[in-house]
Amino acid sequence: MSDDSNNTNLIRITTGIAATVAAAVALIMPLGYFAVSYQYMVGSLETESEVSAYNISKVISANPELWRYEEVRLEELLARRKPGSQNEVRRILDERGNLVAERVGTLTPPIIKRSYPLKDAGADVGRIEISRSLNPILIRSIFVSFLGIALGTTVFITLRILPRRAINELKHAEEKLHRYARELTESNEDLKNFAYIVSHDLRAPLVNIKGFAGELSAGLAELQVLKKKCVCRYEGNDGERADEILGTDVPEALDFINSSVKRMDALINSILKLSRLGHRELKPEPVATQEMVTTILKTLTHQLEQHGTEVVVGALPELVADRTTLEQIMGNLLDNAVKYLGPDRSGRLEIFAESGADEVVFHVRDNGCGIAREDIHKVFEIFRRAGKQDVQGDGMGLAYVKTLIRRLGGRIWCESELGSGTTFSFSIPLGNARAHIVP
Amino acid sequence: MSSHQAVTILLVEDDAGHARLIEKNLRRAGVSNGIIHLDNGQKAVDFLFAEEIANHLPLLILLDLNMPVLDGYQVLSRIKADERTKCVPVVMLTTTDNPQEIARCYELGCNIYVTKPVEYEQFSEAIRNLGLFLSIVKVPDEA
Ligand SMILES: Nc1ncnc2c1ncn2[C@@H]1O[C@H](COP(=O)(O)OP(=O)(O)OP(=O)(O)O)[C@@H](O)[C@H]1O
Ligand SMILES: [Mg+2]
Repeated sequence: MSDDSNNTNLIRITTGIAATVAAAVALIMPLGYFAVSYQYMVGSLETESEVSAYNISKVISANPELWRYEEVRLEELLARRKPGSQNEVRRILDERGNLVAERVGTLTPPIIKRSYPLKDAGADVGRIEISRSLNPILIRSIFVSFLGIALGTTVFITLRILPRRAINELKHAEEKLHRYARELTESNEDLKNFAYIVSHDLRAPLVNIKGFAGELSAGLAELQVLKKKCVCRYEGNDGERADEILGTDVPEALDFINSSVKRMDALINSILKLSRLGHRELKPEPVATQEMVTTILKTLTHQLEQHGTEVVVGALPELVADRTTLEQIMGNLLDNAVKYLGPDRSGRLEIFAESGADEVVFHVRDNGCGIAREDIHKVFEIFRRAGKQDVQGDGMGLAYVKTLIRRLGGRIWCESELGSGTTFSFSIPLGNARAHIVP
Repeated sequence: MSSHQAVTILLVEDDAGHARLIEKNLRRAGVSNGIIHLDNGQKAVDFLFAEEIANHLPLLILLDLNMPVLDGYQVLSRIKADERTKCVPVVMLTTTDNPQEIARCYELGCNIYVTKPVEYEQFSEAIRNLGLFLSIVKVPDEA
């Protein structure tokens, strides 16, 4: 809504600017042309009259007193200089203003006139007067003003269309972005619900498999007892075979069924837990992360001592954020750091943080077995593990951590070198409702 | 006189396997009451609100949560909303132990909540406990 009114405002402003620029173009072109041509014409008229006056003055000095009676000669003089391109009227007047000689032409008004004194030995004896019409200039100015109007209109149209187009483009881009965002949240929701439904519905058949396997075991046990009581007759090796089936084969099959169901149940539980993480409500509260880390490390004392581990905890900030979430993130990362220390050297852990204006970045560094470059992105996926599988784990920890950090709006990344150590880093954005630094 | 009449168990469960397992374990736990099995929520509601049964038969309901058509919540809230069936004890059965689900069932007025654990021993034990509960539960006497 406010975006739309912003846009109309913007269009109004650009239209105003376009109109001003267009009007200026349409007005300034003919006016400028007229001014320049007028200046030029007046200049040439002045030069012309001055030159003519000088020439005629020379004739007058040569024939003093006589000049005004030799009209024919004077007219000749006036005509000698060819008028420029335009028509003009030239007149010689005596000192009282009486016409002495004239060279006529037809002039359409408006007319401009310039005169210059005729001299005889320094004294004024009359004047020469030249007139020209402004008409050609005006006609050309009108033509130029048409050009100006055409140009102005073009400018106006362009200036009006361009911002509209730009705004439309922007709108399109924005709509696209909104659509993507919507689709993303939808598919996110779908994914969460999917995990929930899947784990719910996968469980029901599992209960049956496990249940009837149990029934089979119970039945088998009963059968064994019954078998001991009765005396059955088998032929040849059949008796041994029957014992083998009941005593080894069937129980083995049941064991496999049971352990697989157990595993499947654990996997489903994990997916369910992960999907619940996405739904849990966050309660931001002040958390002293330094204390939190120390407490978690205390619970790991036994493992730390096993590896003779040296632990360095840098200064960690106090944040307002969801405590449980931070605890689970830190707990999993520290657990991994200790769990994957190499057996061949004494361990070293470093936990430190960098506080920026808009985020805090925590680092958990170990000198453990490291992760191969091609496995680094894998370890964040659910059920995925890397390297030698010599320590027990479900491959869930980092998948949780990633989900939790994403809920806080942060990122997690990992730098590692196989055989020399790993650093897990994660950022928590600050200054929003989800997390900020305690002032 | 009616307090001597044995409680009939109404088992509402869409999964035939679960129903069979529950029945077997109840029998193994020494529960010999009659068991009526219905395989969806709608049938349960229809059965309960058929006049004469609602009034005369002492019942205990084992109700599965995840069912098509009418789910456990819907059946439970109908049972608890109706004067005739309000006092019938209801045991909820479900495959997960989601705390939100449990809370919701208690809010709607269920008497106990049993998760069907995948571990068979736990499952039998839960049902056996249920059997115990059945033997001490007193169905309200219509004086
Ligand atoms: N600090 C580390 N050093 C070396 N390898 C690591 C480190 N942290 C994680 N890994 C590797 O990433 C894999 C995934 O870790 P994750 O925490 O997700 O699962 P897990 O530790 O195997 O099991 P869980 O945490 O669920 O008990 C681990 O199996 C291990 O190979
Ligand atoms: Mg782990």
